[in-house]
Amino acid sequence: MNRDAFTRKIMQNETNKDYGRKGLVPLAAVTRNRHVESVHYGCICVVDAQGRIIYRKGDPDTKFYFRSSAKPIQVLPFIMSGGASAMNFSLKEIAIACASHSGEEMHQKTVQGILERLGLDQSSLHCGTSVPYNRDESNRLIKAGKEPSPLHAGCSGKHAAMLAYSIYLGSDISNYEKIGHPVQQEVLRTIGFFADEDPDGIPLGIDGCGLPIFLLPLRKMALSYAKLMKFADEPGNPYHKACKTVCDAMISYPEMISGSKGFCTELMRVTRGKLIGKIGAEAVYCLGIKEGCLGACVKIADGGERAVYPVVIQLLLELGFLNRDEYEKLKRWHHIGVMNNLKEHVGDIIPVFQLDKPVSLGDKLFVYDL
Amino acid sequence: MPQLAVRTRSGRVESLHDGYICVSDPDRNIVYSIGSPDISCFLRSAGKPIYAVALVDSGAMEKFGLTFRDLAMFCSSHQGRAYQRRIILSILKKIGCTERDLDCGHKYPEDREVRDALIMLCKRPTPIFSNCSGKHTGFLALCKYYGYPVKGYVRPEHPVNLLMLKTMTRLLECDESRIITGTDGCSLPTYMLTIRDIAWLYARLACGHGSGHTYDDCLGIIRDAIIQYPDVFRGKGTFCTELIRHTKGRVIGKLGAEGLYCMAIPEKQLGVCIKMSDGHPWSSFAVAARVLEELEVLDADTFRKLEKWTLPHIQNDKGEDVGYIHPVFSLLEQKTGEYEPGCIYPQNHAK
Repeated sequence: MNRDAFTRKIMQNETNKDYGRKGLVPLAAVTRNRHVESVHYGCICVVDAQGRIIYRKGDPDTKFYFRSSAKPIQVLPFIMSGGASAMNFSLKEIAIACASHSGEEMHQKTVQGILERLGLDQSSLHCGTSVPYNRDESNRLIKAGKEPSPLHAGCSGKHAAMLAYSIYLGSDISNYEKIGHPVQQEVLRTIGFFADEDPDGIPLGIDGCGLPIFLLPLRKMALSYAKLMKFADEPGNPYHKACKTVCDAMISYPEMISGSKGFCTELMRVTRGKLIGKIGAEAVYCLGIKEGCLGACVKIADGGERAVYPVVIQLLLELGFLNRDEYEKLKRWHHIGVMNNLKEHVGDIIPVFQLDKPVSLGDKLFVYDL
Repeated sequence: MPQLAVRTRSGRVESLHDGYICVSDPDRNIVYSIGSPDISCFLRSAGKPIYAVALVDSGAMEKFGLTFRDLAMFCSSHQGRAYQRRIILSILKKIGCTERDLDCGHKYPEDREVRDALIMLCKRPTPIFSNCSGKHTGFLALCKYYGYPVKGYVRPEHPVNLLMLKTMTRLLECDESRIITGTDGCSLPTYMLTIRDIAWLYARLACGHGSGHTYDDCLGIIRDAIIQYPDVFRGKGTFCTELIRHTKGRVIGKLGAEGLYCMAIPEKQLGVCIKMSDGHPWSSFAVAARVLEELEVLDADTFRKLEKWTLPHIQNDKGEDVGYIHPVFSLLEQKTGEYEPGCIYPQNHAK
């Protein structure tokens, strides 16, 4: 097939028709000297709390693991049970339970504070260890000749909250991460409710931190965030307090969510309460938007996290949820500069799903302006 | 786009990796391909063994007393280890340059131990630590040989890069207008070519002397230098180096940034170009290994020894295996993966 026919085929499949092969469309491109060097496929779905689709690219029924984007939902049963208030959890501590933090001192201290109140130490955390995402902290460890601790792991806040929940339920804390444990059963039930799926029918996997994780259609991940926003907005709803607590926590303590230089932190800081946003591994991103109580899910099918941020910003622009001022502050995430070793700008990671043309490798592509 | 590999978690497909493959012989015939062979990409670091042609052809090797080991270094994406840095310093001395002349920027070396040692000592990496510093010393050698100014040698208008572009057009038997020039991560120009042209260049690297095309003697010398010094070419414990070592030089594999992997297979006189559309390097290794398996270059035993790359494991933070990167295509049967995200990955495919 020659190049033109090839391009035409893509166009028919992916632009003219509903969605392309395997329900995925090009969402972002990486350019070098104005030519496409790499392309990231994926899908997007935005729904309201009734599950009605407001916006989509690609097939919204495509299934992916929820990964760390599930955290704001995973913490809900602990709050709803009354455990969080009985155990004096602060909003900051709820925020760290929703976080994939960068292992900075403030994060470690917050997690440590929870553990101390529970009379436990970091050895009770079953999240494993990982090098902290924060460069200064990881360099500090190297200089001190120290190995990272479980407190540095991005999921340590979630694990600490699950330990607390486990103690509150009077259950064994030695195996809180196993699917048969009461904590995980409650979490699964909550995920099922918020995603409008039968909990017994949700396929499970093992997350990077060892906890069960849920395979859900894109639209259902978006739905769980829409419901979270809706219930937070409905004082009479039985889930109101828990949902509002999670929203308030994430919005009040954005630096807990992904760390001082992270995208989630910056997005929530700049938008000042308009939305919550949470990254998950393998490039899943969920948003809860206050106006209209919407939930959104973006997934880059190849797991390339670098592509997710420009797509999220473009999506917010498409939906009209960013004003000029907010956009200016978030601009560097919209067109992420690709630099050479002399710090010269040679290309960009840019969203392409809004363009009315197919994008393939080697194509000439100009970085357009807003 | 053709699905070449999938990444699994807990037995299900979590991520998809698409890409293109082209296998060419030295006479520009496409032997196998998956996806359009006319797709273009920048040559990135896969160009290094090709750029070395200009150096071997010039006579600079003889003039400065440069060895096969030095030549392997010009073709390298090295890891910044001590033995590699020593070679670069010795080349710089031979050609009358110093580290200050290198314009490849300050980049932390890829080797974890070396990087951590630098951080521990609160030292900034100097240019020799950059994985492209070997290539840059080659460009400096050309400048010195031809009497070009050393200053500004990374700029596209500098005579050394005009020479390189001319060399590329001769290699590709085309005119300059067909080659799009870009800027590589190390600031030197890089060239955008179709994957069939890249595969063709690697076929000629595989073939060496007697391919009947321009610079065949140079390519033969470069091939032999790389095979003789795999540790210089990249570094111990990396796919490129271990592949050459474990196959005893039956394959030369060279990675390039953004998911490019090229191979020269001397015994088959074939060149392979793999480009992962999403730029994912680890999946390109697994795809390269499957290509070699299908071409019967990699036997089961070697495949197992190289399992870190031929079947990359995905681990959780406790160090437990939770998934793999599986190649899902067949070059010989012209099949590509049809996996949907989230589907169960049949375990019997795992080797």
